[in-house]
Amino acid sequence: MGSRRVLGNDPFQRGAAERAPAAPPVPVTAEPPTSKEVGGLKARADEARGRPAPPKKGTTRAPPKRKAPTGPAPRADVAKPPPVPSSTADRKRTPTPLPPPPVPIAASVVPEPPPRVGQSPAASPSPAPPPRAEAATESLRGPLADVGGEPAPAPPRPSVPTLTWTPLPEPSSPPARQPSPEREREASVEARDASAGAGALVETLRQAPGVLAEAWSAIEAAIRAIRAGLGTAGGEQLDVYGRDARLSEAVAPLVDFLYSRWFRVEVDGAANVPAGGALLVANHAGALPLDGPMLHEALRRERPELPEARWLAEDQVFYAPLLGTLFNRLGAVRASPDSATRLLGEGRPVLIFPEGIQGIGKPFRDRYRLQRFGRGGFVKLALRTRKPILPVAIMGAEETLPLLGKLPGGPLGVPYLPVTGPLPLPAKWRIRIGEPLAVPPGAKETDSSVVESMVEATRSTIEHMLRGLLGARGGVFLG
Amino acid sequence: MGQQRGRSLRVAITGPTSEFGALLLPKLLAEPRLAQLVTFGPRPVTGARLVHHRVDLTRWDVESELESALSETPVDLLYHLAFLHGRTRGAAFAHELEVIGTLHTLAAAVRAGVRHVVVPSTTTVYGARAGNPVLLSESAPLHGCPGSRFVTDRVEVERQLETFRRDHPGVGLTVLRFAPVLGPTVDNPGTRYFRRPLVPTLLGFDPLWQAVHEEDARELLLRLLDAPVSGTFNVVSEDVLPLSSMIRLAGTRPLPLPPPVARGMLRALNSAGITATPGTLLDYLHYSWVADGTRARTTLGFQPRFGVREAAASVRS
Repeated sequence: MGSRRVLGNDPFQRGAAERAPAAPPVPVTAEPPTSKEVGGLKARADEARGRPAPPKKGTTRAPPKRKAPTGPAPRADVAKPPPVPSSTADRKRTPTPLPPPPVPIAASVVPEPPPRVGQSPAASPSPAPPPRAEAATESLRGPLADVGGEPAPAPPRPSVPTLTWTPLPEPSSPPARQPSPEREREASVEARDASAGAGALVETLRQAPGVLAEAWSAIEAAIRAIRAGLGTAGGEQLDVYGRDARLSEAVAPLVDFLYSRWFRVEVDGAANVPAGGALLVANHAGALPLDGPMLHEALRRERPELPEARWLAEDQVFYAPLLGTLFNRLGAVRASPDSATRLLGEGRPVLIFPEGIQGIGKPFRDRYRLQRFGRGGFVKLALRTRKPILPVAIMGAEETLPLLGKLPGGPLGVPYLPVTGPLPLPAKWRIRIGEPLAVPPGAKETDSSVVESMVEATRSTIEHMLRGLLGARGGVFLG
Repeated sequence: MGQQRGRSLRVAITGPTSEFGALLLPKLLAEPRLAQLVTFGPRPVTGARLVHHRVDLTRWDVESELESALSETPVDLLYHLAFLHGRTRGAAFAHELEVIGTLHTLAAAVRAGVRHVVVPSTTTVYGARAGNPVLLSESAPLHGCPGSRFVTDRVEVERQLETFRRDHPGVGLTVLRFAPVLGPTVDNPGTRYFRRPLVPTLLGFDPLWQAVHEEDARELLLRLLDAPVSGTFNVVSEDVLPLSSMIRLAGTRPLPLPPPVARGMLRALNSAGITATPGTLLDYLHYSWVADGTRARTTLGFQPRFGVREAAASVRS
């Protein structure tokens, strides 16, 4: 045991070692002394850290407080914990030492000392993890339950810890298992066709607890989405714009997972969106533009009473093989004044990315630098239809799928093939929806100076909101 | 119109054996109000109250033939249905029949004093293009499909009809742009496409299609007997389907090919003389071409009994 514990030179452990002289006398069991002897070097990994210590005196109490901040950092669950000692950071810090000993490790290490000394530690860890697991499963149930309808607002915060704990669910399996039957029912429907041969593995994954199961149903949804995008499995209930409500439902686990777990999207200002149609004009980013579907999902969750929004996709995306087809089935409409007018006439919020391909085609080093705002078509549209323009800033899309390079896309009929990560990175997203822009009285779409100044106003407002969001951001992934 | 009382309908049809002709003729002959039916076509058709004139619309002197026949037995309504629906007997012949034939027919109709002309067209004349709006209205430009004989001729016919409408405001003209007409009996490029055992499509694309069931198409043509409204109308299903779903409903399977492969194969087959399908026709498998049927619904009262799903499924038999 002792030898296994020498996993690194944790500063915290070293501190404990310095104090070691004081410790030996106290230990009643054989256990603690051995660990001490093996050394101040040894550090029984973070997991056991602190666990054996508490039993002894108050001395051990002090070090954790001092060193705790440095402790988690090297473990690098997240990039930059120090800058903002926000509540999240605090929360993370405290759990870090505690939860790791959850069940399996606690079983191997703590049980021995507990007989008498370990009472307190044994007691404290065991209550700690279960609540977290339950929280996870509950927040899980939320998104899954609301697949069809209203967004049961899953607590936004818990998601942060859960992310750091992704490996944990295994131990906490017993409590997490309850929700699986319901989920199974839902998942099996769309899974049936997708997962023919993978039988046993699929079954285990589906019954897996918590986040893992959620991730699996997201993968199944992704498979379904890809098949729809390939044009081999079209639905039968489409509206004239090409949105397939059934497919959207089937893909919901994926969207839910990306939205609430992976990107942890936070929306601010959704109340600004008026009923009766509006143009939401946003910055555009990411090698593959996920900002459209995410903003769409944000409105669906935050403003379920509004008619379903649609986002306008530039031709290069709309007619990209697979992606364009899939986006169309999920609610993208090819960007054209005609389509937008029709959508606005139906009272829908219309999501517009005036940067178009320039926004998603800019290199990563130019992130959050707004490109040319088209030719002001959205302003003309707003003036013609008398609908308000709402500037929207989206933070996080840039880092999610950074554009690392471009390959020629000729044979596929796309301007270029983006080179990016294999999977979207879990950058933290924040969406801020601003207030409607003021329209000069009597403004006409034919007045180019008015159009230009309104384009500029929209652009600078978005830029300003972006700066605000970026300034307040603690870390790309932490948010 | 005075057609309401007794046997008062005097109707003429060009191309009674064409796709729409074959669809319309039996119902028209069964129409109790029919007083006189005049047909013009290369193959004879028979029926009560029917006078058939054997004409070849590609002949240079066909115009006077048509005119004298129409003057002998005056008609109120002329269905100009003489368009090819099968595989072509050569592009030059097809062009003569469809484009020049329409020219002759319209000129003869004016001189013989026909009051109203009905001409079927197709929504393919809009072209399947990246720039298409969500719903193509009747005023959308007709881009057609460069390279496709079938579509190009229809676009040219449409141009002539437009000119005719401008030059002869006194003659009513109804142009019906049909979405692919599908059904158990019709035979046209659309039904042939959906009756293949493996239907080639483009991998990564699943454009939106519309269709009209043959019953609904016939119903609308007949409806014009009573209420011949001038204008151009999209005759389409209210709903749309992705191509892959239509193929599945039609009882076959899609064969998705990567677009470059599909184009290459088609080019090879064409140059080998096995097929004569222009590569540009693949655009209809690539981009959506969805037409807005609102005008036909509100103005003509077109209410299809069958949706696009039923239309696609009707190809099966």
